[in-house]
Amino acid sequence: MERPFVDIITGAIGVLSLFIIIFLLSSWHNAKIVLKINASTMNGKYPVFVICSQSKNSSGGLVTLVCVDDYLTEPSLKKDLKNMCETLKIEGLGQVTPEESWEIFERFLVSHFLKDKFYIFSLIKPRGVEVFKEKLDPLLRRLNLEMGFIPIPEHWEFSIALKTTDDR
Amino acid sequence: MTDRSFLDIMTNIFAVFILIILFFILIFREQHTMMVEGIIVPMERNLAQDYYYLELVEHFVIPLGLGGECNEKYYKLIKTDFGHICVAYPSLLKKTPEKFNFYNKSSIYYKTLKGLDPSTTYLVFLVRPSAFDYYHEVTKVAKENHFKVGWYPLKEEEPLAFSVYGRKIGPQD
Repeated sequence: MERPFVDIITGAIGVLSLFIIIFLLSSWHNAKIVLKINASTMNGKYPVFVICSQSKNSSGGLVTLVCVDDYLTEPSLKKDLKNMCETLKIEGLGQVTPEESWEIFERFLVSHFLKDKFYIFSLIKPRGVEVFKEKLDPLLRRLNLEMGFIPIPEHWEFSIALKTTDDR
Repeated sequence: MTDRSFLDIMTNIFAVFILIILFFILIFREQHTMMVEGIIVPMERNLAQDYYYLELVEHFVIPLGLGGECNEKYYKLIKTDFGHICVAYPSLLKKTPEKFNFYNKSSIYYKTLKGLDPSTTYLVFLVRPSAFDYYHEVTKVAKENHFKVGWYPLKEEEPLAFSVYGRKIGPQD
C-alpha cells in the first residue's frame, strides 16, 4: 500500500511542477512595455487622454476617457476630470453598444465639457484606427478642438507625467 | 528501510523542494518592464514647410515622396478626379525586403533622411496597424536627425489616396 501512494503523490507533484514550468515559460515573453508619455501644457491647456480601441463585446470601435489624474497638479483640474469621468460613466459609456457609446462621447465633446482648460490627446490602438479616422478625428476637426494623437500598440501600457513648461 | 523506499522518499523530497522553489519564483518574480522614453504629447499644428510622406508597414519604411507624390520606383500612380492614389507594386517588400527594413542601417529610410533637409521639410508617416509596434523606434531616428514628425493612421488594406479635399497632416513635435 505504501509504494503506490508515494508514486501517486510524486506523480501529482511532478505534473503540478510541469504546469508551473509551462506557465512560467509562456509568460516569460509577455514582458510589460510601458510608453512614457510626457504631457505638456499647450497654449495654457492641459491634455485629457482618450483611448481609441475596439469594444470588448463587439467588433465596433470605442473611444474612452482616461480617468487617471496623477499627472494633473491642480485640484480643480483633477475635479474637472473626475466630473467628466463620472458623467460619462453615468451616461453608460462602454456599457452599451459601440454606436451608443460613440453618441455619448460625441454629446460629451459637443457640450463643451473641455471648456478652455483641456485639449484632447488620442492614444490610438491598432484596432481603434477605424473609430479614430471615421468618427473622432472628423468630429474634433468639425468642432475646431485642438488635438494630438499617437499610436500605441495593443498590449502596451502607458504612464503619464506632466511637463509644466509651455513649449510653444 | 529498504533501498527502494529510501529512493521513494528522496524522490518525493526532491519534487517538493522543486515545487516550493517554483512557487516562490512565480509569486515573487518581478515582471519585466521596458520603458519607452521620449514621447512628448504635442498638439498637431500647421507648419509652412514641405512635407515628405513615408509609408510604414510592419518594420518596413517606404518613401512616398514630397507632398504625397508617388515615388515611381515603388508605387504606381492612378489619377482620380480630385487627386491620385499610390499603389505599391505587388511583392515590393517580398523581392527586396532588406531595402526597406528599418533595422537595416543602409536601407532606403536612412538614405531618404540623409537626402532631405530638416530645416525645410518635415516628415509625415502613414502608419498601418501592423507598424504600430515600430512607429516610436522609427520616428525616434527621424527626430535624432532633427526632423519634425507627423503621422496619420491607415487601415491595413486602405489605399493611399491623396486629394485636394484631403486632410493636411501637421507635425506633432
